[in-house]
Amino acid sequence: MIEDKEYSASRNLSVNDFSGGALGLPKGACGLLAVAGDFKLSALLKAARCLQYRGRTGAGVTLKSLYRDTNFFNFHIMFRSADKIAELEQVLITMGLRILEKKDMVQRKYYYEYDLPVIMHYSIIPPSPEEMMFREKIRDESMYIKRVVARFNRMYIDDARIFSSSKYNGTFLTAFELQDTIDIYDLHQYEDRFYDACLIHLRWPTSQGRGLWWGPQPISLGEVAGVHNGHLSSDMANARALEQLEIMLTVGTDSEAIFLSVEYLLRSGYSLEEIEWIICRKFPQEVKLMAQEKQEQYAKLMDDPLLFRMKMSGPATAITLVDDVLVGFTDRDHLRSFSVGVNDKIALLGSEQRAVISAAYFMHEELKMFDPEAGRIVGFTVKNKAVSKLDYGWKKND
Amino acid sequence: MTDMKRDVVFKRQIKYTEPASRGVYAQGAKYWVKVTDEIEEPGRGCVHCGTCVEACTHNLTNPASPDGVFSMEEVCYDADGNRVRAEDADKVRLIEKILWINPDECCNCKRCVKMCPQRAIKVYENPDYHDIGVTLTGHEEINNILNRAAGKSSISSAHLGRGKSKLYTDWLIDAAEILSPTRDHMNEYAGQMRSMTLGKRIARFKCDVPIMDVHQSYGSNSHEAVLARMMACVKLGRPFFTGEGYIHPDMMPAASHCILQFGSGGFGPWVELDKFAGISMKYGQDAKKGKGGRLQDKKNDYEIALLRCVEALRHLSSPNPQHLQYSIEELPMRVESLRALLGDKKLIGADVYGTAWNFPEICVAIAKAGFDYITIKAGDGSTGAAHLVDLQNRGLNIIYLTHKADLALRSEGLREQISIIAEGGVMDSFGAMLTMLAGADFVGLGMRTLHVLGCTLCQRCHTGQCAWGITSRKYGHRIDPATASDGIVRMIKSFHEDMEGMAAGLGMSNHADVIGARRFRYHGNDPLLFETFGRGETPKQVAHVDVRERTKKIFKSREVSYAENTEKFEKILQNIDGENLKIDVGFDQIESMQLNHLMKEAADRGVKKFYLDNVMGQRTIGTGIKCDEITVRGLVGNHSFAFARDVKINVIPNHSTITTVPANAQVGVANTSNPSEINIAGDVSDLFAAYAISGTFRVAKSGGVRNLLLMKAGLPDEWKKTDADKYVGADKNVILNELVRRYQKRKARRVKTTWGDFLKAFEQKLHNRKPPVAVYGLGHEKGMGDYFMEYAQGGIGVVLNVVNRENPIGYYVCSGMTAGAAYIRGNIAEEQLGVGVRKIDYLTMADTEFLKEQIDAFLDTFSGVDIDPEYNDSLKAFKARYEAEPNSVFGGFCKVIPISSLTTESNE
Repeated sequence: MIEDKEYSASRNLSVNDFSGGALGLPKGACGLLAVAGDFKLSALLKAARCLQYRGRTGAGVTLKSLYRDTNFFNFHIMFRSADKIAELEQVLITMGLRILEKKDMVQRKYYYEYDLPVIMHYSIIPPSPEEMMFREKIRDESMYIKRVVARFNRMYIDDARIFSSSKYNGTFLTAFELQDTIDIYDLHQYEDRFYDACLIHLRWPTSQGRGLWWGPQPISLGEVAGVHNGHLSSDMANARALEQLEIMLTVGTDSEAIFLSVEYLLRSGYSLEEIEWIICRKFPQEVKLMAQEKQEQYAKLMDDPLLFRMKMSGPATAITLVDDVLVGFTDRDHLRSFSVGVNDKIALLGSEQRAVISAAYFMHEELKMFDPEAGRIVGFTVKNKAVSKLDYGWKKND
Repeated sequence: MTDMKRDVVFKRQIKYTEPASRGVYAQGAKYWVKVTDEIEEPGRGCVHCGTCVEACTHNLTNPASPDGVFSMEEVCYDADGNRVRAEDADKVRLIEKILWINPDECCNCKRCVKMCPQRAIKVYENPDYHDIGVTLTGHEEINNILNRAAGKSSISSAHLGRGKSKLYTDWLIDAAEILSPTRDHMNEYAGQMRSMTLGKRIARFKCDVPIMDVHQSYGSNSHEAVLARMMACVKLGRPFFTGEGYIHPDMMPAASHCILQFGSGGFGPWVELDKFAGISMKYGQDAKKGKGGRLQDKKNDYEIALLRCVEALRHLSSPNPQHLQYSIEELPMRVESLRALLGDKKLIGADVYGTAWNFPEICVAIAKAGFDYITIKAGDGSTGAAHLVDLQNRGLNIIYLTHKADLALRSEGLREQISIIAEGGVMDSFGAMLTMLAGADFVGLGMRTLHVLGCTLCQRCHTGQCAWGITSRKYGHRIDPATASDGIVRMIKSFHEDMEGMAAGLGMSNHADVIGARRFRYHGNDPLLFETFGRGETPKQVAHVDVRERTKKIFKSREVSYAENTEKFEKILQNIDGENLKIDVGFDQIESMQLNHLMKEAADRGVKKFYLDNVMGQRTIGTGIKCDEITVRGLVGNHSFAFARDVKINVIPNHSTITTVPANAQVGVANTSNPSEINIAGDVSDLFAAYAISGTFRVAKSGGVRNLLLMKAGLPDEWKKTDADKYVGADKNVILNELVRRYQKRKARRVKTTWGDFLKAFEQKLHNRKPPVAVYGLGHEKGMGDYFMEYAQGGIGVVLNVVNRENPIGYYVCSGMTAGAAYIRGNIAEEQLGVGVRKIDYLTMADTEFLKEQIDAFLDTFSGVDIDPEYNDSLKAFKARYEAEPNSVFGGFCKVIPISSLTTESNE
């Protein structure tokens, strides 16, 4: 059990609870579609419909760079009920955050039609660097936001969830179907706005926990967002590795652990190849056939007890967005499918070829299509709608 | 002769064999056999009739021996006391008959005891085995350690049998008294549990009793045991669950009463499926936790191979999960695919293990996926063979699991969409009633049915030596199916009557009143059960039900699909040109099941050849469609061409728009199929042609992981000419009579010959089948994925590598393959090979001939197709090289074959 009250004011949450627990999510196989580059949102949303059959109790969209013109953080918060808002806004303030502006994200009529929590958009200003140092010994505002959002989500998991906390990106979730998400947030209003990447997730319908929608994805924390299908048998090992790095899960699923691991590894300066080794791992036979130098490099990484526990075992296709980097991979056993299509303008990643080709078809694009081999990572960067494929040896800190 | 016989003296002796070994490992058997003589028990002593010798079949030390625990030795002496041969009859004056007893082989099956005309045999617990250790570490633990140290198998069967059942005591079913008076089921309409249906949506099976049999495979049960259980089911008016060993062709008249089980081995021919009552997907079982099992080579005889469509005398694996079978992702796709295959009126069930984790969510997922029933396999269930540790790691209690499933389904508004069968540890009518009161629609009794056939739980099912003929095929004729089935019927009817009495005692009228009524209380000391069933009243309703959700989950029936799209369908169907129809799918204009329904409608109107244009990943294409040819232009979606039979399929790329839609195939395409040929002018994703039984498969480019998984050895003619049609809708007496007639014919053949010779007749039936062949060209994008031909059981895979990839294939190549072969062109390191196979770097003439035929056909198929410029060039270059220097192409192949399973170490 996590006894530290700081992380659990409303109830004590064990790692097991965070990983699913008795009432937790069986993390099923969901539909995933992601794109980076110059594209039309409407075409992507239309293409994603073909994945709807996979999952019907959760649909989410992350739009990268949607808020790039604002100079504050954009929180999307769901509250269990309206009477929690004032109390929890006060909590945000006590965390040093300044609420510049707030507004409803959902038209009133949808509250009558759906069983919705109250969903609000907040424009948030972090404290000054001095105050951040005073409060958390953190100077970087993004790090500070991540720290306090994680804490908020863990403490008030029963009452509220900050499901989007980026300075630039916006994540939109519902526990319904994609069309419901589009309608409830009126996503078409963003059609002509600037965005240069998008993640879409359609969730498999096995949750009993409808509470505060901790099942739908993309799961987003700060500048990280990710989508995943499958369920990891390594969820406890992955969560423990992050725990010992003081990276706390806020939603508690195995999926979240993957995204936070990717973020940690990218920010720690590991190359894409090394991240693949750590998360997807190699068959022992493959390691034997690697060049001596590579074998040593591999062995060195595996010697680190924390990295050793970050291996993803069990079915998974995962796509993670960290800042301007989009990476995707499958588990080494390839218990889920994964397809990629690229051209000069866009990179499409999806859990089915059908979704990728449909998106290209609706965008009137010709693609080079391929299914990455089992357990192989693919990465792209996207800046101002320009997309480029990353080399295997690429490191974020380069 | 008469005079001579008068002079011969008989002397009888009973002797015990010397122990095979001495020292700490001389554990002996768990049981000792004692045979009493006339002196010890006058009038009941052994008369040396030899019945016990014939009765006992158990010999683990020497399985090939004709003798078990007992053997009879006759020693002849002449008048001078010298030993003489029995053939010298005129010299014989003394015959000494010695009944040898080898107590170390006894398993307490009690066959000898019950067959002995003198009741002279007694079986006791062997104190040397049992009286060791202390309470904490007693004989069970010490003998377990010794067995492991001695390298003995840790496999057992039936049940661990440790402790009493949780249903044995501490439960009280309520009785109506003053508030709601009890009723009389003998003379009034009360307590009746009849005319129930398994399945609550369109697909239903009418059941006359609430107690079902359970899935037990043909092979794990003898022919006769299966037939007895099947006949009992027909007589009782309930479905017969086949287990994953399929059914015998002789049993096809009863197909409409049978629900086939699809396990992770996918065994069987998978033809004539419209004759069956449905298909059950095996997602796990109590005994082996979804691990699947392994049928040993010696048990995979020619007859089994005929049923399972595999190579005989090889180990058979029912392997681990993958995303065609078991995966949660696969659930709705699998139902969709099976619905396309079977139509709306056949049952589709899911058999799941009572896991400790997320069981309610699993039940809900299954219901949402569209299954008609869920079979809960709870703790205390039995099995044919399992490792001790698996028997130890039992599922949760049946009452608890049933309650959890019931609650979860009610909360999701799905309870009246799906039936629950609960099984695993139901001992009798009391346990059955408790289970139904906890929420099950039906209960399953497996082990209790086997007691009727003679089972005394000796835990030797896995050895194939069952003396009662239940789990030993060789001794199956010890069961008379017709008589045995009557015994099962009487037992079930007796339990049924008990249950109706208890229901009437609760003041209830019928089945509907009973299910989930929760009129019982637990007053024992199991904390989980007490917490759940021991405290207070049960709320009548769950707190919240989301009814809106339920209509969204279920696939539309063909009827509804047609009604909603009549205009659209009819407009397309107007284009029928004789036996041809072209359907423009318009990329996203026709959804998967709609397209499947439309094709069925067209097939019913005589269409034999389909051309599907502008296809964009629609699923289940071709599944359940009776036609000769399907051409698809575009991308083929998940589970398409599954279970296809005798159809030629071509998939070609679509270059008609800016976006090229490649002729690729997604996950699980062509699984479990018997096509004439399938040609994919692109690449295929994971699990292509998995479980394929027969046919030719050609893929221009590469395949994902687990391609050709468990590929079978071909479809025997026996399955091409069943007369199952004759028995569709037949009266059950007609079916039963035919089953008996066929069995009598079989028995007549069986008794005339030895078991070995009897089986050889089935070897003939395997001769004419043609194994499935799959040929891959490979593409520039990727090589063949890992686990190629994993667990294959007779098919042939060819990787041509037309693009000359340096590494044509991934890892674990042909892992667990027990029959068949892979021909791969290019470099393969030993490290890439899977377990139990080896690589041969040269080809025989026959190999070259075979490859030549395949390459010629491959080039014929794809040379004229515009796939993509890079590939087209590579194929052209390959063709030129092959035509100019064929040997340079053949020289690049290696062949991967299984190391003969007969030489591998047995796990028993």
